[in-house]
Amino acid sequence: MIMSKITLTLLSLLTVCLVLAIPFVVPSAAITEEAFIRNQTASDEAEEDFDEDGFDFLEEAGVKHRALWAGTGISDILPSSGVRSLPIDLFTPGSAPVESGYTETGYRDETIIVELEQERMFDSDVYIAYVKIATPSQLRTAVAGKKISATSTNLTTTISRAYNGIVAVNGDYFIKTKAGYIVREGQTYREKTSKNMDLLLIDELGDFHILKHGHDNQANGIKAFLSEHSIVNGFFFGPALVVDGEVQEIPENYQFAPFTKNPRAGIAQLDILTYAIVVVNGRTEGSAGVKMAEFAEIMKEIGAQQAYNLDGGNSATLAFHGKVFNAKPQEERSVTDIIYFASAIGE
Amino acid sequence: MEAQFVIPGLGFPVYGYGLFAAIGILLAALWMLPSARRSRMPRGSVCLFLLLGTVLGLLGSRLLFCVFNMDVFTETFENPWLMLKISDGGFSMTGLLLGLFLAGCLSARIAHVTKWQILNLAVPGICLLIMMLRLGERFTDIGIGKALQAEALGRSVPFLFSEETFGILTEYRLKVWLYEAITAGVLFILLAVIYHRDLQSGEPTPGRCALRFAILYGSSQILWESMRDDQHMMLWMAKFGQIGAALLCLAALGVLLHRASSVKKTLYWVLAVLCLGIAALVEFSLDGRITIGHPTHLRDWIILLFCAGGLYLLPRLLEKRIEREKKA
Repeated sequence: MIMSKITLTLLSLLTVCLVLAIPFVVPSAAITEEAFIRNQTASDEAEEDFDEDGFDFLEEAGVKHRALWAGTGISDILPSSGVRSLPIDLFTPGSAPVESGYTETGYRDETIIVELEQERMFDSDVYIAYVKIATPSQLRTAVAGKKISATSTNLTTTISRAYNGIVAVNGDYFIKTKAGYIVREGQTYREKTSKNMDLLLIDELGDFHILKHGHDNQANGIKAFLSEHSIVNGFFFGPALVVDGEVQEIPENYQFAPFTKNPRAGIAQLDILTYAIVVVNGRTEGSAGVKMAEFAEIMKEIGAQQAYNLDGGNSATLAFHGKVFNAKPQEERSVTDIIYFASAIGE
Repeated sequence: MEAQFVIPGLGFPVYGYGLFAAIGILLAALWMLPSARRSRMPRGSVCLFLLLGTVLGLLGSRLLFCVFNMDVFTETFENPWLMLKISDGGFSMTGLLLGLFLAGCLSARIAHVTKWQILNLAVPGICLLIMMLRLGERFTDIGIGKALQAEALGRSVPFLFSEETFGILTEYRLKVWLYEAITAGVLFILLAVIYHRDLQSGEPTPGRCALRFAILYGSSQILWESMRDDQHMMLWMAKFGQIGAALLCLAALGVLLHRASSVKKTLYWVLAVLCLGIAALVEFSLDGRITIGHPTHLRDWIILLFCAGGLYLLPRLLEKRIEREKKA
């Protein structure tokens, strides 16, 4: 085929025009932030909650449990007057902790008390961090990247060290989900209700509010919540384990293999400005993990008023003093976000 | 954040990534036009490929991105035309290559030449385009890799890593876009030499240049994609770019096995699947889903390098065997 000069000229001109247009219309190989935000709030209701099944769970083993008694040190009253709040900002670290305040199993300064315990429940190793803080701003969240929508990952211990976290747990890996009210330190990432998954909202007073699944239930709950409070942090994983002191029934169709034994991570509020992080090791001979109902029992035993399940499996990590506290044979997994408690000393 | 430049007098912004993409296409044209003249390709065939390649490459990369990110386009069920809104960003390198392959086949048909003639000519140019696209990722949020475990290395060779302030820490991340751009540049030189050598001596294997691109680019991308940490084009925990790269190697192997007469085809496939299986295990280890021994990123990437090397060697050995058989 030999093209005529006219055809060749026209083809060339068309090609050049197309190529010259590209710098004005092609912004990036990834979706732009503006388009992403538009899509995150395009509709309030999401058809699906999760875009993949990224979790593999083992078969269950036999179980037995015993009660756990919360440490008495956590009931000490902190002198909260004169302590200024930390800025509610995703990229502002907490105050640098006092090194002399650390022990093998805890930390203490004028603004925060942390006590860690290891227990044996349901034939598994259970690690608990009790935390009492002077101001709600010391319950904080952080992401692995430079902005809330960043997709970078990093180790829970590294993120915790980067933000002066005294004790931390992996979050809800929110970039993998499609629904939920995802808020981090007052910054909104997504505003969607969910048919199948429960929400945890933390208000400006540091109180937990758990909204059970269901579009109407969550929409009405959020409306009522926002009439009295502001959302400082919002999480989307679940299920709810304990609500208002009552152990919750785990829905049959809830995701994350709730009826098989697995490593788990969760956070609970015991009292005003008093919290617990609980991580259960699993997938080993000595520690198979727990079912969700057993996890709820553990939360109830430690005195949780509100308790919520977070990302488990190999992500489940309790970081203390920048190191993994829940010693496990598996390597620490990189995650996108964490919840951590920081000191406000010097504020 | 997409870097934008405002050219004085123009009034509207120019995207850094788009600018580099356009420069890549022009560089590809600068390679293809004189090379086509030297190889006496029909007049207009290159122009046709460039036009079809631009259109189909854009369409292919955009549509494949949409397929893998359907959840992002929540409005598309009401308005599917939103998928063509390319100013929203979102493209796939694998989709681009598919579009270019289709453009090569179409333009070969129209120009009455074989698809291998067009593809052999095009692949060095495609390497230049890939190089510019990877350099353009510098202006976007993608192309940055995992955090470096050995920080001392980051401090000693800073230009190879991205230094980022992370809370109170400074961390170094792999500049995967740079490694991929350098690889594409090296591939261009290699393939340009192979193309010209084949022109002079007569091509021993039809599509030799194109097949060499498939196995070299495919095997190198298996490693580079593994280092990325941008969650771009994910299929569960796997990166689709990595899967596409492996498929490129397998496609080249398939073509060569089809041409080969006296080889144990099953053995080649078994070895290829073995390499892929080990690579998949390594990816599980890198993702922290399984723990084998005392894993480190370096150890796992060295194993992956061997797997990628295997996927490169298998078709190469087959190619040499076919050439020997032809000479005999």
